[in-house]
Amino acid sequence: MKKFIMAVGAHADDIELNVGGTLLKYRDKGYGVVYVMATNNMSGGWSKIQLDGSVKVESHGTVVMMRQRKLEAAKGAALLGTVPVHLDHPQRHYNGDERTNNTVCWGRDCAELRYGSPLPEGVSADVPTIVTAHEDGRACGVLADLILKHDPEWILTHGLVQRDIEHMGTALLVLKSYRRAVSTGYKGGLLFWVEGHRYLGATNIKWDIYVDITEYIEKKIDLISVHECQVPFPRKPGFSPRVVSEMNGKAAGCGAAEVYVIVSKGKGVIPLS
Amino acid sequence: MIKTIMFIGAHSGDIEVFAGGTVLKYFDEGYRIIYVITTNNMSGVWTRCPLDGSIRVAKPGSLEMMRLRKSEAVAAALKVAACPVFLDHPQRNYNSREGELKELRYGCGIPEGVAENVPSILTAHENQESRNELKDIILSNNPEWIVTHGVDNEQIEHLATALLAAKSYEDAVSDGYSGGLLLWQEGCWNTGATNNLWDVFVDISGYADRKMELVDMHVSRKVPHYVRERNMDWGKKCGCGYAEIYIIAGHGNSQLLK
Repeated sequence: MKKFIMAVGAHADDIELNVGGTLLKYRDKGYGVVYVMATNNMSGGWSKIQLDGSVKVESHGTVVMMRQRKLEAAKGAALLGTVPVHLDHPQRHYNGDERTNNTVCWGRDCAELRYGSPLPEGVSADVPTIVTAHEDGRACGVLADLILKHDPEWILTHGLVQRDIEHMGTALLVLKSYRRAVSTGYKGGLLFWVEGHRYLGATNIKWDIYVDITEYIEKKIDLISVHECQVPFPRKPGFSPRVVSEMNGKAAGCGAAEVYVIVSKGKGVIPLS
Repeated sequence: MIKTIMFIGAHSGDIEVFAGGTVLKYFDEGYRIIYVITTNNMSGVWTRCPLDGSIRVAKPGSLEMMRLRKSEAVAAALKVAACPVFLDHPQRNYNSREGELKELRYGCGIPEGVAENVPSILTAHENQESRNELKDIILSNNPEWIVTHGVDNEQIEHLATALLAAKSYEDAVSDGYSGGLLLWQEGCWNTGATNNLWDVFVDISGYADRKMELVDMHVSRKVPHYVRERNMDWGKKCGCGYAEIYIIAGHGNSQLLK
């Protein structure tokens, strides 16, 4: 029987940036990868490399951003031998238009989720956003069903030590869906990947286990590079995911590593390594 | 010069539940206490326990809940000679006048008592005006320590408050503030054992009863039965009767709480 590993990321590129090495390694071990995107990817800038080598960040509407980012997610998932599952919870902001009261987010004009905000193009009114999806029984049910259907040995997702509220929202959605799946017999484990944000204290970035990705670091960078609109220069010296993987590797006693907090060991599953 | 400690909670009652013993202990030691509440407290239910021992839960609308919960926050803060500062960021949901739970989504209406175009608590940490408002409170009071929610919990408004406090703290530090930042642990074991570690504890052994009196002042909120047990459990691990535990997010130049 084929074994599976599931990764749940908030946005297109989160899975590759944080656990790309682990997934490549386990794909090579014969595992099937279940690749889940929690948000609808309607937000963000689109970085385009100019002829002079500089980068111009363009603002596009929700539908254009969703199409591009989902296309890139599909390319990343294909390299892992799978196709993405999109849960499509709307993000907390998007590039605004003449209907919206714009605010400044991430240094750009954005329309933000507030009481009275209009519906963005391509978003349905009856879908909870990623920041409240974890409290929606139906949303947790959808993800729990997906867990039960594939029965992965491990589920990997964002940790709570973050700067990004959508990563936190995704972690809570996974945590609650996991619990629901366990209550109906699921026996796999749940890991939070550690993103290394030090501003909430050194104790908050401790980890329990690591996966040695020394032989996969270059392939991980190749995997990340499919997300052209978000990561224009993955081969640039000092590229943060490489530096972080190498720092984790140093701490773990290998060349490069991805590190995790164990939320639940599951029952009878073999630890990742 | 009077020493100051600032406590930042998402909701009316949070400061008392998670750090009430620390508040009382340092008030008794002569510290000035600053109370900041980040949300507008429009959400939740009103739990009443009549004399017959039953529990009745009412669902007042947003205006009534704000009035009720803020008046409870004021009464509790007065016990330590403080007056709460309300940042009034709207919560992620509320009950309509008809008792229907309404959630913050695109295309939703504006609740009664909420001004148009105010960032909710979920995004306030990305809004520079909101961060500046909290930064100015930090700089004008210059507390030795700022104490707020940690990230070991499953309550998204607690997490968002931690982000707002930590980012405003960073802004204040870059403007010369030299105090420290502590994140209280809430004891949510479901997030994994490593997420429940701590750096420092405050021995609140002489304050457990008074803490519960402070917590009980929030009569609209059903007090979680585990508050005292949790403090006792942490106390056992820390070698004292009762304790509240913290992660150090920023040391500053302040002496550690104990």
